[in-house]
Amino acid sequence: MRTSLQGEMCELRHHLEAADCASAVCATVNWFTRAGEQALHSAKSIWKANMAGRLPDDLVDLLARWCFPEEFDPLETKRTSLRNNDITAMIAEWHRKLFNVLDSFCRAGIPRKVLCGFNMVDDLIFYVTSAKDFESLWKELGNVSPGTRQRKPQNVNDALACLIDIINDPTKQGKVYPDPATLSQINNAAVQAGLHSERFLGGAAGNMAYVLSQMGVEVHIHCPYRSDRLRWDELGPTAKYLQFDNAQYRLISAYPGALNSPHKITVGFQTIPGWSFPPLNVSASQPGRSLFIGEHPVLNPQYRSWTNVQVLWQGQSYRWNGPWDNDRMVWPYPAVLVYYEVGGQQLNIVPADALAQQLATREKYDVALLKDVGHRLGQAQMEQAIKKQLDELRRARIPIHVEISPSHNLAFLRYLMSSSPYGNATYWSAGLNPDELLDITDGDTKVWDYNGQIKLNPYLFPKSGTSEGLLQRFVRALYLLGQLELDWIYVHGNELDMAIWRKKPCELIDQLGSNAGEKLRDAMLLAKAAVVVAMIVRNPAPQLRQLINQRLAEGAALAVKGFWALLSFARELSKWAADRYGQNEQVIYYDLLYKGFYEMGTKFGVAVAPVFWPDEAQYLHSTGAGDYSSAVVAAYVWG
Amino acid sequence: MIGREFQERWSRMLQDPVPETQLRALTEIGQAYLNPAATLEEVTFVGALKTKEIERPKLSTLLRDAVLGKLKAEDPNMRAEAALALVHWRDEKTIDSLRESLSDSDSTVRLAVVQAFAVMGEANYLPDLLEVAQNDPEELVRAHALLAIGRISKEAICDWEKESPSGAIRTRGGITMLKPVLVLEQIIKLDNSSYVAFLAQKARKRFGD
Repeated sequence: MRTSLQGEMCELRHHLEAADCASAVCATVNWFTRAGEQALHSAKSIWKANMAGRLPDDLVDLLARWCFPEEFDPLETKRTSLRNNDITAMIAEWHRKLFNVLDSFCRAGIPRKVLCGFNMVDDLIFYVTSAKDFESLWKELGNVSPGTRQRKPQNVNDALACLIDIINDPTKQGKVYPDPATLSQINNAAVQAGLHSERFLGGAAGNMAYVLSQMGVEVHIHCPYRSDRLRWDELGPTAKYLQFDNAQYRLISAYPGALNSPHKITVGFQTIPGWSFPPLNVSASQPGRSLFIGEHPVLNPQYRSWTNVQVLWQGQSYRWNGPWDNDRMVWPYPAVLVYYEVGGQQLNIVPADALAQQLATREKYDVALLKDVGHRLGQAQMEQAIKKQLDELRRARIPIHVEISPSHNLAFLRYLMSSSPYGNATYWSAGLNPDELLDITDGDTKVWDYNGQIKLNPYLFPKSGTSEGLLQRFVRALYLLGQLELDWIYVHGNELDMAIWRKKPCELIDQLGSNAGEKLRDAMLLAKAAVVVAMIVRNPAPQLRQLINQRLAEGAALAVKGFWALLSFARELSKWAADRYGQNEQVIYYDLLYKGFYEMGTKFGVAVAPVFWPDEAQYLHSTGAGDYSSAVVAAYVWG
Repeated sequence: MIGREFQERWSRMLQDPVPETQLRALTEIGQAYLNPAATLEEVTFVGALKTKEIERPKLSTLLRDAVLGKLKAEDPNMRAEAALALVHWRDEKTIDSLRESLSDSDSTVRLAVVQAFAVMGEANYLPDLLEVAQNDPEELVRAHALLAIGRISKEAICDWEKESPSGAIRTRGGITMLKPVLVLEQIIKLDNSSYVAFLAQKARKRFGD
């Protein structure tokens, strides 16, 4: 029996309108060229008219040349022509590709088995639909005055400032990390205010497990605490919880979860627009979402019988210090395959290395989705343990996929990937979004160091004053691919998805072989469909569902931005590759437009997929859009 | 009438000995239908999807004849681009020429003609589109023909169905076809492409029983 997510994905086939889309893209190309030429011509005329009489003519001309390009730069060039029939054929071809990917999924699913760990969170989303809602919340917060917006607010004043800032400007996509006491106050205030709320299974692993199990993939989940406060019932029927003890591992039902078990909490506020609250200068003119993220698992202190934490590893015990030493609500969160023992005053955390080896040999996962492994654990033996466990997976040819975030220690990640038993093939892949890629590779980034063993400097070039183009995104991704020595990297965008793979290593890997380009392209097409459907299915607010359905009904118009991005990138990349690698510009251009991938000799390949769907991340419950994309692509490609 | 400056420029370009220049003219003519502006100063983005609400530019028959000539060019790209440029005209000579191009040996040209019919969106082309949907050797062309049928409004289809009460229709080859519904049902049953069969099912819903 199909899940609702599977059903909705199959329904998406009805929204494909190649004929309309082709007309819209042709019109856009025409408008872009003519309006662009006209705008440039007008700007130059205004400039000269204003300057005339004030400055000498030759100086006016010189200043104009500094300010404005000589000619408007249209989308097509002499070598990469853009005829209406090219656009029509290209769009027809991509619609067929997308249909085939969706249709194949509808008929056969994607029979895969994945391991998914570690971050699972109780996502509590409160809906602020009116000024009355906001006023009630403010009242329960004690009518405090807003403080200062911070990444880590330590009091409700600062937390309120964060909330107001994001309501007023949803493009800020606010994620903030309050301390546990502040988070608890915000949560209680929202509950007392009577705001409508929903709970979801969140966290990277939670989101990945959700989307894959709902797509029919067999998912084995491990997280440190199988709390009954987590929405395990959101998972599809193919999800199981992976439990360890000192003798064996077991696959058990994830639901209902263990009572009085610690868990992480995120408190989110989803704004429905159309109201304002003048006393605090709040104006909700667009849908928005702010997230107050608890960094540590918490539990009522009455359930905690221990006072300190030790790691038992390879016959020795090691103290693990952390915020739980000073705050009895807080528990440790070991992103490792572990089990626990409580002995007197000690909480013993035991990495299950031997069991990891059994798991790797018996379960033969297609991929292990382990986002958190990029974070330093702050405990040396556990870091060694995760390295050991990941190497066991890799020895069994189980690849690891990680969704990179700027808070990851990239040198530590590189350390985890090192010493592959398969030569150049590391059996690692990664995903990230363009903003994160920019943050990691621009001038503000730091040099990462792991215990002096590995240093990694991800800086490439500073971010531009204007918005970055797709070619810059590609160059940054290619650089990071090389720095980390991943087998492939995936950058999930709002308009164009792109993936780059290292050719020689991938040819050593059975799952990839010579098919990597096609697989990556099709995976990205499937992933984006899964993202929009997950956002619909997981969003109970009727006003927001209506908004997204209205957008979907626009059909062809949605895909124009995706095809524009594809045309633009194909043109830029073909020129760049022709100059740099001496490749044939036209071949690259047409391969990207029609096939969706190009292999740059023996070095690397690049695959692309235009986004066909609306990007409404800012007003749907989509804390995990990047996690969904990464999970689907990884599961599809590595299978 | 679209600005004389444009039309004269296009006419000159179509006579240029350089094929690229002729192609550029055909592209611009085609795009002018989707994004009409009398002069450069009036360029605005109106949105190609709201085709029914826009007053379409009227181009001269002289220009039409120049474009029709390109429908016989040796280069299939030229023929395809010409087909997409002919969307401005609805006279018998143009439509008959487009219909003839549905038998072009090059699938790019046939796809372009189908797209031209899609842009025009009129029920008169239904028999042609159905024939292509059923018989074209290329999957993509058959699929596109079904999508083009989706661009004809339900009201226009209803009116068209009323005008052919027997349900039988004569195609350009003079052959009598079955009712559209039956043609679509045959496609659903017999086409070996799941994409084409799916689109045929979608198109089928636009017709009465």
